[in-house]
Amino acid sequence: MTTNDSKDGELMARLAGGDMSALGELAHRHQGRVLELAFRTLRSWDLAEDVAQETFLRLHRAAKRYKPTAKFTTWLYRIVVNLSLDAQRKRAKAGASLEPELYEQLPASDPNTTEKEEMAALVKTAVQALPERQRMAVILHRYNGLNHAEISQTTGWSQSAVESLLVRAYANLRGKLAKMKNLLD
Amino acid sequence: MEHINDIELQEYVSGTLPEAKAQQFRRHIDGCDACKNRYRDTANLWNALGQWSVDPSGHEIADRIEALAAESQSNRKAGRTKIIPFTRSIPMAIRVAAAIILAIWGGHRLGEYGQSPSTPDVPFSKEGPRYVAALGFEWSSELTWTVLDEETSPGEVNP
Repeated sequence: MTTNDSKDGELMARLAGGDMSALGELAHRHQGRVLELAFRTLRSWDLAEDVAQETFLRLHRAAKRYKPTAKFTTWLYRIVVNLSLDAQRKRAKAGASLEPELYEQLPASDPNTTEKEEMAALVKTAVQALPERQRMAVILHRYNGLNHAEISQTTGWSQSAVESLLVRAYANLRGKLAKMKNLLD
Repeated sequence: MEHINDIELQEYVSGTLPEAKAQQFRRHIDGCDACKNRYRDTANLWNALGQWSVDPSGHEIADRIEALAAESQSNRKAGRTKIIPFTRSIPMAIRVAAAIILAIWGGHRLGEYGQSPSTPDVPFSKEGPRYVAALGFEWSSELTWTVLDEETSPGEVNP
């Protein structure tokens, strides 16, 4: 267990004992990664903030049941992933488009944007155009630094399913990025 | 060593492999052109994806959480308790038991007024059987239709 994990475990123990200041400390330590994960999934800061807030409230409710057997962040991300997917499905039910047409989102070519900015916009568009599960696997792997086993624990999908999702997702991304770059050039 | 498969290559590029395994792959890639090319492709894609950065500053929720936590702590210290709706404060088992007792008592009362010859006289009419009146209900045309099928003859209803 790393120093970070033991610090998180200690904060969770304090929270379980009724020390509410531990919840604030946990929120300060992890809000960045929680917000990023929720935003990359939901593409809306308002929804990401709601998900992040609810995540920490759930952490509080579950503090007494928490056992530091797995990495704290894996457990935390599991809450964020579930809440984000729920929010995404609710939004889909409400009629908002979740899979906008890839080429509708292509950044307008602007002579002032640098190649780096253009690439960032292309990547964002390509990731957002992936199917839900592939997108989640890539976000957790590429942007949250989880390995295949940790993604499996976080999402509840089998490790072989995660690996197959990642292989397909990266192949898709390679194809989409090449296509978009050709369209823009 | 066999060629490195796509899954292993992803783990290698993402830096999540154990050091011993990573070293083994490094040696293989150095001596295998096919894997070297695939490694280059995978690493390029990995680096390209890294261009999408997200800045959550300005969206922090920790202060809100901290304020909520402090409020909850001070409420607890002040001894304020959460108001729980009355029905929620009764355990489910007691609620179920109460429902069963009420159902049995209701059934018993209905049977008593429907069959017992010692039932006290209560005002009723041909249109309104006495158990209905005994239960304190007013006779209505809807009840007529409900009860009509069960009445065998006017004599039985109105002895």
